[in-house]
Amino acid sequence: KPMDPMTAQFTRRYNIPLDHLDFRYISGCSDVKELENIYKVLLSGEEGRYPELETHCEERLRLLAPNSRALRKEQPPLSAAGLDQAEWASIAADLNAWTAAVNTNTGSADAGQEKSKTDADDLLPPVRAANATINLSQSQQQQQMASSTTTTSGRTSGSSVSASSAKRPMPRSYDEWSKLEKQLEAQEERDAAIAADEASIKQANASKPSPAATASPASRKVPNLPNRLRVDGLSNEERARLAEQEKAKGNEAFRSGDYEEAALYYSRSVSASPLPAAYNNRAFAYLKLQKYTACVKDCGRVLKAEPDNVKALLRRATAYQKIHRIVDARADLERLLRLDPGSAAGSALLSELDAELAKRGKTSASAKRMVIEEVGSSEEDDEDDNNAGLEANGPVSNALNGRHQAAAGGSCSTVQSSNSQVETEQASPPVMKDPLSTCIPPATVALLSNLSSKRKPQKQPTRLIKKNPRRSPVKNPATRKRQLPRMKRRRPSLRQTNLTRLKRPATSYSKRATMPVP
Amino acid sequence: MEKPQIIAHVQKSLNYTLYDCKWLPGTARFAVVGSHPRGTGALQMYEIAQGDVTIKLDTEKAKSFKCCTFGASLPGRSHLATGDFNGQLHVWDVDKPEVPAYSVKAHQEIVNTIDAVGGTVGEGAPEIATGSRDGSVRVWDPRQPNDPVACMESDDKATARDCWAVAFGDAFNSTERCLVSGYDNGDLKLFDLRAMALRWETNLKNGICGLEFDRRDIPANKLVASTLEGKFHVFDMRTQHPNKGFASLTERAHKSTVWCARHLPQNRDVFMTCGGSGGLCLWQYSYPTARVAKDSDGLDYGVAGTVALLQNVTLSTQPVASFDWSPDKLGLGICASFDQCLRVLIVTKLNRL
Repeated sequence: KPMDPMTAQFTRRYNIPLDHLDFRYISGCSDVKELENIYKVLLSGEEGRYPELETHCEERLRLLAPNSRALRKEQPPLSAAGLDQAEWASIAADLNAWTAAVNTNTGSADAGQEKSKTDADDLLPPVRAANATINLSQSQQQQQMASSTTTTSGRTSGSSVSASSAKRPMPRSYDEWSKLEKQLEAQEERDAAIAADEASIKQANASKPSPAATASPASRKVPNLPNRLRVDGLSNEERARLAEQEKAKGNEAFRSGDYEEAALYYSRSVSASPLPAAYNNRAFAYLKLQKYTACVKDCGRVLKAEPDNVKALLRRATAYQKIHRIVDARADLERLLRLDPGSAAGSALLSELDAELAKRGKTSASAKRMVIEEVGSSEEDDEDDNNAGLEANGPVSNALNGRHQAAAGGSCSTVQSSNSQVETEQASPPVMKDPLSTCIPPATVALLSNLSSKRKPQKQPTRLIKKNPRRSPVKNPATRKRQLPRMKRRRPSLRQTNLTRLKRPATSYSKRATMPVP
Repeated sequence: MEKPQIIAHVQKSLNYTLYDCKWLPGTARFAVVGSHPRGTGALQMYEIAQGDVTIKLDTEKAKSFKCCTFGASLPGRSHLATGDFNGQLHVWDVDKPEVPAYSVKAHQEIVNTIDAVGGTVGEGAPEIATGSRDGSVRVWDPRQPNDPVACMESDDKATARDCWAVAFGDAFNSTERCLVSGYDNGDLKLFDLRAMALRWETNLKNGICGLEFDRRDIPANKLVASTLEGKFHVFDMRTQHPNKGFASLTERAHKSTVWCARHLPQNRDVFMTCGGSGGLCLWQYSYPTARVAKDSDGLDYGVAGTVALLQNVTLSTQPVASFDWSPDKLGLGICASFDQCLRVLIVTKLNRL
């Protein structure tokens, strides 16, 4: 029966019931596919033109599936007339400025190009070995054999090394037999050569993916590139251009999460042109890689050139916090908040630092953790010194972290990293979110404070109390200068003590338990 | 977030069929090649100036040109490599175009596609790759006359498929380089030029019209293959699984052949596709949260991201055959379409992506 349009119940396209082309139905419909079909039918105008229904359907579809293909519209490009006057003026001015700049550059570059052209030619790598051929049909067959599907075509079709498969007559005499033997030997050699070729190709094909697949992701991701660019003899514009190229590559690698690759590109960029922007980006990459001292160094370089760089201050403060240089972190944050009082990340980090300090019970904000180099006369102190192997001049953070790692054990898990280049100063617990991009959630602050409280109480406070009565009482640990180890006048040196234990009987003033004299 | 806008800045109607257009890096000039109705080749250089394009060079050569590239032109020089309908590869110095700087009979049939690396972009020796209707892909070095430095072809010429697209990639140091070629039956082959071996191949079911790596001078990151029947594929080239190959995503666009895909030189995750219905679409790729996953055997395999349409415009009724971003000015592009029109476009707000 032919479809009479007046009495038809369904649309011609997509067979949608006509009742569905309705405002209320569309508002209540959640089926994206059907909505798309309805929209297409309405746009086509086959069932009539209903502009309001079209817009309603489009809004509903945009709400449910903003990336739907049905919403893509064909439209002509904008032109200068269609744009805002001011906007077009700025675009045109920008373009004209660029063309003028580029033309002057090419004019000046032409003058100095002649000499550098021959030099550049010499620096090029040599021509690749001539006429290497990859035989597609043979390699196709290797692929087929490697994936063990049956090949319909024989081996000989398309293979560049043809094996003669002609049948040989049976030998009639011994002379013929010796001739045949030679032929067979030659044939075997050829077969062996083919087999070797195939094996090597198969291995090349099979091994090509496997190093990429089974090797650690880090080794594949970081390209085998030198850390610096070869920029000797290039003009300043050339160096700037190369530096900009490397920085752009670094930015892109950073955006896709390849932080080591990004750091490598930034290092190459600064080797060509040491701009603060590139150092700043590299500091951020080091921060993501948890190389906190390197980050601090780079931020320092940036701030030397641009003392007001807000990002560098924030990054350095975060890095300081991670290596427990709380005082420096606070100083940076205060500087940051003076420059940019509205910085949410900065104030969040500052409050977090204050919370951490409060947990540790240090009342003065400028308190630093001090390593007690001087040993008391008590045995436990001496043994502690021996065991911990403290260097009197050693850096504060190393010793502290050594203690932390020994004490905290499993609670401070070192953060996952895909390579072994992570430095030792990362005994901090993993922070879930990037503190620079978002405010630190209260959960993380609680986590941090929990972890800091889980650390075993350090020996220093008790040792401060248990000090040598001969020495003057320590009033303020912060103001006490770091001192060289005092010569222990009364007792022999530690090393000598060990030896004396073995060789000489204990002296009367040594309180150490002596070893039995053999 | 505001979407980028595509503005048609200049539209110039020419009297020959345009096949390809390319910017000369470091300048405001670009080259256009095509074919006159009488079968001779047209080679023109234009310069952007004050809201219009001025012609700087206008030559006519023996045979129609099909494709061109500045990729093997060393910094400071302007060497345009062209492939023509007779299978000849010429490298012209556009300042002295009377005699080619390098010339060789590359193929027996038309050179369908050309790509070059090693000049201003990519490390290593300058090399030019040509793909032809005779099914072979050949790599040439302008310092070596007559012979290609590498050749990828099938012995069986009768059943060899036409090569429609080639692209260089992975040229991040002087030894590494890879070349990908696409054929008219949908075959996609990835050659490693350092090992001189086929590294990977697959079939995309539709003929491959355009191929491009997102950046030539980094370890291969993404590859876009645009095919017939309105599809393009984006491959994540960082992780190769021995069986599954590379992860990919497929997207439909243009409702007709997608002629080419071109990545923005300043942002490798933004690219433009040109359609056979005369439209351009601007896309942005976003990476997944984890680009690598482990399968049941413990081997790594890649995870493809998503692609989002930022903007689309219709320029003409005829296919847009070629598009090129300016490597120096963000958002400036030229396109050539089969309605004999050359257009200069400006895409705004790309720096906010």
